[in-house]
Amino acid sequence: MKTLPTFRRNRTLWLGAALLGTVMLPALLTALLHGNHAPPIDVIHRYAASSASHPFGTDPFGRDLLVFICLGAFNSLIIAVTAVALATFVGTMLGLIAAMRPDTSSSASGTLIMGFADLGLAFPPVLIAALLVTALGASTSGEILAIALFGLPAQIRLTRQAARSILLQDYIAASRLAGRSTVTIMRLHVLPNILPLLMVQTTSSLALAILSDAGLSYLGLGAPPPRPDLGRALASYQIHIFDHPMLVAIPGLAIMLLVCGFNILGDGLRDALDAPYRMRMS
Amino acid sequence: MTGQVFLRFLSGRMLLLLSASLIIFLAMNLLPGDPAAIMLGLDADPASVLALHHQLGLDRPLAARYLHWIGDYVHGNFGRSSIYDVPVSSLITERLQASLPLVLSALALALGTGIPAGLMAAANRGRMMDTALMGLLQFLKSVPDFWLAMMMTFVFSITLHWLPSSGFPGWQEGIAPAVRALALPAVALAIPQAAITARFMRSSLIDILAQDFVRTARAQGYSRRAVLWRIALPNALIPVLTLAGIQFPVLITGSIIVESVFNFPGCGKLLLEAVNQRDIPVVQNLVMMIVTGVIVLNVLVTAAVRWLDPRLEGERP
Amino acid sequence: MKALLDVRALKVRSHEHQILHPLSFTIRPGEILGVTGESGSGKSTLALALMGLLPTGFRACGNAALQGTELLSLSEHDLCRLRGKTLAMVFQEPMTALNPTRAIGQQIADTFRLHTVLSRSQIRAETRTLLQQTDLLEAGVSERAYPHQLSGGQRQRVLLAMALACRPSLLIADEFTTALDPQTRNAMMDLLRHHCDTHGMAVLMVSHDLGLIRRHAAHVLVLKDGACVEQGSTSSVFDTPSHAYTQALLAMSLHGAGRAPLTPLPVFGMPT
Repeated sequence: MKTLPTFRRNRTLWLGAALLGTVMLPALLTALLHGNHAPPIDVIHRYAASSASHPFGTDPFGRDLLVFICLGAFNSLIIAVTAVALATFVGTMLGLIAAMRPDTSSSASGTLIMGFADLGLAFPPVLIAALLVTALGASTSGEILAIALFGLPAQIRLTRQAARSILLQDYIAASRLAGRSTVTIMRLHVLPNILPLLMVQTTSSLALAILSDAGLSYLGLGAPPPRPDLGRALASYQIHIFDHPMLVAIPGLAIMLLVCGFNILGDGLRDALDAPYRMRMS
Repeated sequence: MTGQVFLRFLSGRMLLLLSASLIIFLAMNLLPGDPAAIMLGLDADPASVLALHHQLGLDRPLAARYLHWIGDYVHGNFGRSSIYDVPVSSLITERLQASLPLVLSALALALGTGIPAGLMAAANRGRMMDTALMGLLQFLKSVPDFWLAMMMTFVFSITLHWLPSSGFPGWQEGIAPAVRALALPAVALAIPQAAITARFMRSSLIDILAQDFVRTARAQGYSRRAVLWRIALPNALIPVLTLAGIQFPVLITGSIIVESVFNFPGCGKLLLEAVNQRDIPVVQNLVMMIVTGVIVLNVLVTAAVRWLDPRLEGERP
Repeated sequence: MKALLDVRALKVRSHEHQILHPLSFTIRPGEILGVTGESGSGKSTLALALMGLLPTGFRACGNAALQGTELLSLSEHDLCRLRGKTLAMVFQEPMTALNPTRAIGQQIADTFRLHTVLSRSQIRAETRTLLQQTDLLEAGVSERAYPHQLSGGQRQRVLLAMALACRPSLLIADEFTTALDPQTRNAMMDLLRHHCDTHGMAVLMVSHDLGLIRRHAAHVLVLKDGACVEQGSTSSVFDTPSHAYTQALLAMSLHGAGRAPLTPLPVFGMPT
């Protein structure tokens, strides 16, 4: 593996990983040790200052802020990772299918898939979520679906574009002449070649998904209580900003660290994997 | 030839709009349960549910209802809000007076600061200034805009008392109070978008500066500065314009959330109220209107890019 | 006759690497100097060093006087006034050397706008004359055409028109005939010769086409790995090549292999 030393020397990559680690590790540990449920409400000890038992103090309900934020980050990550996994898997498959013919309009499936990808450009995630919540009520799966649906078109376009440029190479023509089927060519040549690009795309999708999750749950269009959530925490702490600005600052910083971490990790990955600097979406 | 290609693109976008309307309609009309019952709540008496059911035309077949809705929508007749009991169109017009200035000023701010910042970074490529600016932008790009809005109210409204922390007085009170109310939400909304624009602008410029035709211009006698401004910049702006078109739906999402932070009486706030109250006519028409706006902007951006980039002539957008 | 360009011990370094070893030659007005060698021999570096357009990290030192003006010590500002006016260059990649978003007429007119005080209508007229001289008008190419609408040969002619606009005293032509068909190539060389004969323009012609050099150049410079292995009058170098490399080069050219090997195109940025 010639890429290994570039990984090790890549400072950007490590910075991204470190930023992610500062939120992810405590989030995972809290979820494991404490369990994924909100800490008990304790009205006597609300707005407690920082202390040994409550490093970040307590919130307006007397809950330990650190535990609450860690669990919120944990749940945001679960939602973002699930949504991105869904969008990446489905988007890659659809993108590869759409890439099979050189001209999308010459195949029914290609036309349909690219039409769907176009549709995504008209629906901001909050509108998808608004429709879903109006129709079905707020739910975790609804939020995941909204985030995934928003990410899907970009994934389809990117995969199709990258796969097409691979399919134009001479060795693909040679492989075709050797009697390999399109599916085999996709599996043997296209997928391994676009994998680095997909990895880079996944990190930026994760950053976007974290942001979307925070926004949607802030609006009440995301996953419903009782599980702690960063966006919902911001919504409920917002009125206390006058007296306790840290209550608002800390959940926001957690979101920002995650998003920044994924973005920087993506930049590092891109340098390390030498994937194209940026993709033009037409 | 060019016109023909563009007409094909335009009809494609019309088809897209039509599919979007179908999705919106189906999402609103295939909900489990009777929309009339959902709108009136659990303890509504059956007679009024039945009356609303009839008033909404729910006793007619689905296809007829869809065609009726689309016909009305095209004529600007958006029906009546079931909560406010006023025409949806007047509700939307009123809220647009706050939302449109917010979104447009955020867009203008994002492009107006992002493009020069990207230019500055590219012109100083590899120097301290570039590195520092890129680091700052990476960080600003990752800030959730609505959280930024809250932190800015803390600093500029609560601590410094410079700007109002919420609401919008409307334009009848004069320009100054309206602009003051717009300032914080517009800036909060613009900052992450400006960072994205700046980073993209930088890489776009660096790409262009490495092109052969830049060297040709230098050999022709263009100075380093002139080549940057007169040759590289116009070429680098084309992909940035495309990016702005792609980012517009994200900006809309941001505006809906930021409106909620500032209790800003715009379309976003209206949409959320309507979603929470199950005000189906408002949700359906407002979502359709936003989607129409996004698609229209996409068409405009595509047309502008084609006009600026002669290479795209005859190619399908 | 006094030399137009007098190059003495010109060398180019990039960090620790010597890209171009000390090189001396002169060109007289109206003369064509052929520079040849395989790809990577430093031909283009020589051309860019004279233009003052070396990529960052490259440094040229030595002397190169154009009409008595020392090029290497000239300020960037003065170089900009010189480039395109007295010192012009045609590049080898016709497909990418023109700005894709501006009409070719505008790009030719740029040379006038940068270096003359001609009025708008005068520039228009001059541009049309140049288009005519380069046979572009004849081929039905309007000044409002964009580069992508032109063939490779036509783009090369536009580049030549841009370079010749201000009647430079020295033209550096870097492989500019490579993309042209034989007929166009002859027409373009005739145009160059015409400028040489009437305005005393000198040409530094970088080419691997030995036939072309033999036909047009008075003197020739043979480069290998950044060093000059042989130089002299064209007839002496071609008839009695003293260096083994020149002999090999001539032999290859006789066997029809004189063309530069194709450089592989960059693949969609994936590690292979």
